[in-house]
Amino acid sequence: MKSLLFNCVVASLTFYVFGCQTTYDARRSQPQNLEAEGSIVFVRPDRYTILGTRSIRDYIEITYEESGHNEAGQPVVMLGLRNRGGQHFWDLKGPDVELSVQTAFYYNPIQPGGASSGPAAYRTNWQTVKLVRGQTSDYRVACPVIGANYYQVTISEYLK
Amino acid sequence: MTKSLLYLWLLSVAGSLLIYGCSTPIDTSPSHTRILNLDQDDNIGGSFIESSDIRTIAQQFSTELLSLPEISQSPDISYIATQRIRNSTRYMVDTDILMRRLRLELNQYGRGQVRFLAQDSGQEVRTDILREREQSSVRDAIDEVARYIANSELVQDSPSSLRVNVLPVENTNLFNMNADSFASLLRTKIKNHAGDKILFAGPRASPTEVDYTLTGEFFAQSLKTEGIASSIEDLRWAQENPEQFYDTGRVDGESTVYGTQVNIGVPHRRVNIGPNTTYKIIDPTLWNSPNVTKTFNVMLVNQDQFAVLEKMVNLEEKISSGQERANFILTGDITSLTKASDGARSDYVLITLYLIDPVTNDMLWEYGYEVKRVTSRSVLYR
Repeated sequence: MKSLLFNCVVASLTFYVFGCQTTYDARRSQPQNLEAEGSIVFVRPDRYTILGTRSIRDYIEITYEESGHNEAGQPVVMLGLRNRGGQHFWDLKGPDVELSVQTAFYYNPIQPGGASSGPAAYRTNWQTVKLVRGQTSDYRVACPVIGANYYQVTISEYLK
Repeated sequence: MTKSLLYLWLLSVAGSLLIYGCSTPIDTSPSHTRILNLDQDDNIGGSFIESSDIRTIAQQFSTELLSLPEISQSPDISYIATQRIRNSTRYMVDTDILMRRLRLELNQYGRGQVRFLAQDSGQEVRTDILREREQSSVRDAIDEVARYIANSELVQDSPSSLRVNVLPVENTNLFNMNADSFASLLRTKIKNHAGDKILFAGPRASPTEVDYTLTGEFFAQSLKTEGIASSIEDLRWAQENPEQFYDTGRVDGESTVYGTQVNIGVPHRRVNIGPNTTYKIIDPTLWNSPNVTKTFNVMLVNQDQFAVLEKMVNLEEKISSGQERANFILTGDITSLTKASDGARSDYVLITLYLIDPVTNDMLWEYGYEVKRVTSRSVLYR
């Protein structure tokens, strides 16, 4: 018993001593997490409740995703964002939704390393998209950096 | 206390500290103030445009403008002159912030395809720089004139030295320059180049004693009468008329010009104003040298009053704003439909930006941005 307690105290002290370092290595993103990211991602909800979440994924769906170039050679991304309303027995109506959408363009493919594994050539600001229940919005964004043909769209709740 | 109890106590303290450390996320926000993302809602209220609107407009506008065939397919740089965006809404906002954000985005991602003209920025320093550069070009121009006269056939082929009288150059007030000083400078330069081929007469020489008279004038390449009101001329006038132009009794500052009048026995600091100073008070445009191309014409006149030699040089070029190079004018409007009732306000805001061809006056392209907001908390926009 004594030795167990002694070892626990030593272990705790070791943790503290380790914590006394001025600097320590930053945690790196897990490659497998980045690899799992697609070209359109929703931001994780800020709160989980017993019935469902506050996730925008519960209400928003992507109706189409297209990318290409305009006449000037700029990369262009087009998304169909639809508010499909409530889909759960506890919420059949669903809210009107304000979204903040940001698109990052990259020179290199976002896979297999994941979009966040390299710097973006161009990143738009967070642009607001308002979706009343049942509405589909055509989100279109062009990139002024020619050659940045790969992209990732991040969709969040309205930033406040 | 046994060792076991001591270890248990230490362990519980360490465990408590660890658990306490897990209780709340680290708070890195500054006190009393919150740093917001530039697109984040500030939770203050208001139904007009927000920073996110300005940034979205800049992002969308710049990419669309850069993809216009008139710009993207042009082999040359497109120069853009801007005019302040007109705000027709009830809100007092500085529309320059939108124009500057547009300019920032286009300068950052335009890849040299577009260039804005600095219409209002840095113009005072620019004028100073150009004027200072012209100081050396004036010396070069005088040297060029002197060399031209000295190397002319009239001077070189003359069997004897030419006797030349010098008359003060006219209209030197265009430069705010002393006429005698300019004549002396020109005379010295000619003498340096011509050597014994030219003999300059003294100031009291009779016109009949010389072969030629050297004179000239400055003139402005302008449609209107240009000039500046020179206080130096007033002082000189006062010195030449000592009994008329020193201040005997008057002490009011409005009718006097300050300078030392030295030729009346006792130096006076206060001298009655002459016409130049009067003009200066009446017309502010006469305060500074006019921004026009100023040309110097020098002549060698014979005794029959015919100019036998003439040379013209530009001494000062007009400082151009560069707007004549502009391929496009960028401007726009902010308009709104506003409703208010019981403390609630709603605004539908339409922001349009357009490119105008300055030659044809065609509206080449227009960009529009719409937003509608309702708020129960009205705010003051500035």
